[in-house]
Amino acid sequence: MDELLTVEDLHFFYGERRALDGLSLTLQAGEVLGLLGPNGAGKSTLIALLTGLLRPAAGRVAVKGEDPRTAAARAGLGLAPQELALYDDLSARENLRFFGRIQGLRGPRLEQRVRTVLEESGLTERAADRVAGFSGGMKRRLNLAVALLHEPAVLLLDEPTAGVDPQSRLALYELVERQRALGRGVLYATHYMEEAQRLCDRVAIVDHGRLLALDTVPALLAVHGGPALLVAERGAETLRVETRAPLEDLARLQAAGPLDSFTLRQPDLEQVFLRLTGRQLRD
Amino acid sequence: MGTLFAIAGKDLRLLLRDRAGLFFTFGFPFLYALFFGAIFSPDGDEANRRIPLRLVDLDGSPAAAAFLDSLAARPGLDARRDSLAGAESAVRRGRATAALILQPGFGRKSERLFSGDPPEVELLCDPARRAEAGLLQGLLMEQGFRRLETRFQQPGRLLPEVRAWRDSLAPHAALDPSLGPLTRWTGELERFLIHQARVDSLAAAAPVTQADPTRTGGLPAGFEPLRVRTRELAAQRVGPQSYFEISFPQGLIWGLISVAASFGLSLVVERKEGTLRRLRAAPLRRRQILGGKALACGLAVLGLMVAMLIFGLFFGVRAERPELLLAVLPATALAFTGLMLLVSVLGKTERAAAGIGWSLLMLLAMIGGGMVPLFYMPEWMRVLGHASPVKWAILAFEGALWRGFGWAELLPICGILTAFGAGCALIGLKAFRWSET
Ligand SMILES: Nc1ncnc2c1ncn2[C@@H]1O[C@H](COP(=O)(O)OP(=O)(O)OP(=O)(O)O)[C@@H](O)[C@H]1O
Ligand SMILES: [Mg+2]
Repeated sequence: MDELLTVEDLHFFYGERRALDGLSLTLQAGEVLGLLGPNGAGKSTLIALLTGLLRPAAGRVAVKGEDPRTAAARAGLGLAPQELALYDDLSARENLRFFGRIQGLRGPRLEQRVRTVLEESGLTERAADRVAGFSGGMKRRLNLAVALLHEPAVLLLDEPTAGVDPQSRLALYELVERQRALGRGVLYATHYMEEAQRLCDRVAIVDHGRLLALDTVPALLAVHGGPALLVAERGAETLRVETRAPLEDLARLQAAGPLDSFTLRQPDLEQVFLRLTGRQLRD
Repeated sequence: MGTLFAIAGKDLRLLLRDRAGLFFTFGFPFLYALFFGAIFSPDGDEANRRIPLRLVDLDGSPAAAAFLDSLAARPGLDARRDSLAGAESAVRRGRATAALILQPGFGRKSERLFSGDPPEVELLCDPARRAEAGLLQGLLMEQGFRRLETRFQQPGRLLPEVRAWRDSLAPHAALDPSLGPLTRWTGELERFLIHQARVDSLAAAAPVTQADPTRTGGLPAGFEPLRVRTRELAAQRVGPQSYFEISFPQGLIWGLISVAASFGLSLVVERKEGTLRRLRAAPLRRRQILGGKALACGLAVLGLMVAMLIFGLFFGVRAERPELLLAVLPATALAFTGLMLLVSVLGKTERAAAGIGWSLLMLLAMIGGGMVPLFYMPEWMRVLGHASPVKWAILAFEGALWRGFGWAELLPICGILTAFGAGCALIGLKAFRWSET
């Protein structure tokens, strides 16, 4: 398999503050790799290092084996920064045309790509409007559209769904899935575990600049998810039972006295994070 | 190269979208030039405008003196007596629009009314001011007819001349019947003058004079009270033609400063808005990112200068040697583009950069004569002004417009502007913060 991104024992400091602490991971072609971590975990810092914006204190980052601090290596990167990076006084189409040009797109090819990504991000009708008048969600979609313009081999998406309504969010997921189908690699930074769980082939869980775990979702759940949680109601009483055999445990509870209702909570990434760090993912 | 133009095009488009920025770049300089040009310009009040005129008397007769005195008393003229050399130099230096020279013999010739050559004056004028010269010629002819009027008010002195004329006419009238009415008119005129003389209790009719044999053939053709010969003397301008020639370069400076400030600050804004991060993540080199910005700034500066120069034409602001602008424009563009790159590194936040940047630019404008022309300033201030590109840019423009500079005087100034721009650019490029840490 093609290794698109390589991160080896990466360290980075903002002055005295440690932001990345020996992080290692790889991204393969045709893979969506989730970068899951709470605020301040170091997700954006890692992406800045991958785009050559920052220089590692120690360790190595590479894009297709090359240092992203060289202009040529960055040609294969598509970035959707966490902070919206658009020209408010230009229209959506003008923004796309400009960013397309600096990626080397010209002429009919540029126009065709601009049309396509406008369509994909559902902004065709607002293409001629100034970005200043866009809603937060629309700006977020345009922010992603810019990253897709030049069909890069690697997409670095830093919380691409922040502020996007559920409907547009689904369209966005589909967009990401289409990229995977086209054989591109996607690094997807988020602190929404639902997103990571639904979208990502593998998830890297980071906290305080350290990689806590990296695997497929089922594997993470199996290893770090712990038992399922059986919650049952009997009169005013709520019973919570950790269980690896929910049917047997349910029968046991029912035998002790009739239950009014019950729910079974399968382990999720939230629990994985909780068990790894002792903290909730979202405080 | 395409990438450079893509970045520059984006920045120019953003400038056009920014109404306030656009006003300070293109609107304000024009308003400044017009406002200060109009309030300081003596040309502003056409009604009170007087034509500066030098009067030279090469004749020295009382008639010449009287002619000049009455001319000097006319409204609309700012007439002053001068020597021939003094008057010529005044016209050449543009201090006077024209000089009027009364040739020797003016007094003698002006005694005769209907015979001989009319009195002669020479009008020396700058070919660039033909309109005013035409006005002067009209005034002179009017003055000549006035002379005639005064003569008719002294019939005693006019009578001998009329009689001489009648006598010279007589032999011709005998041969040519068409001259009859003229002979009769002369007789009427003679009778009228005799009558006038009596009424005025002046001397009785003067004795009848004999016809002058030498002048029997002299018939008056079209009557000419005064003969004006015009001689052109090109002025070598050594001062501004109007205050607009001072206010336009100054107004331009404000536009240049505004361009340098807004493009410099736009780099700070790009960092804040995150678009710089996107540019950095694209396969661009640093020099392309700043080069594109510099190109946009340079083009805006050039556009502004060209627009100002064209606009200035309508207010009489014309380059004496337009070819010098080929050096002035690029050198000025370089100076202010360099300044732009310096402004871009002056503060971390937009507010800080704007504050420091504008203060610096204002200071440069102040000491460089962008607010008050340098010649109004004390000596120490003028020395301080050497440090400001504003001073050199104004000097370069004035040099091409009206200071009469040649390449030898202009090129060192353009060199200073270029060096200043390069120095600022170097500092800006070195100090530019590429990452957020
Ligand atoms: N420009 C900066 N200067 C100093 N410290 C910074 C800077 N940017 C980030 N940090 C610090 O580095 C650490 C990692 O920050 P980073 O932005 O990478 O986290 P993140 O995972 O992207 O968080 P979030 O989910 O909130 O975006 C944090 O402790 C943060 O305070
Ligand atoms: Mg972040």
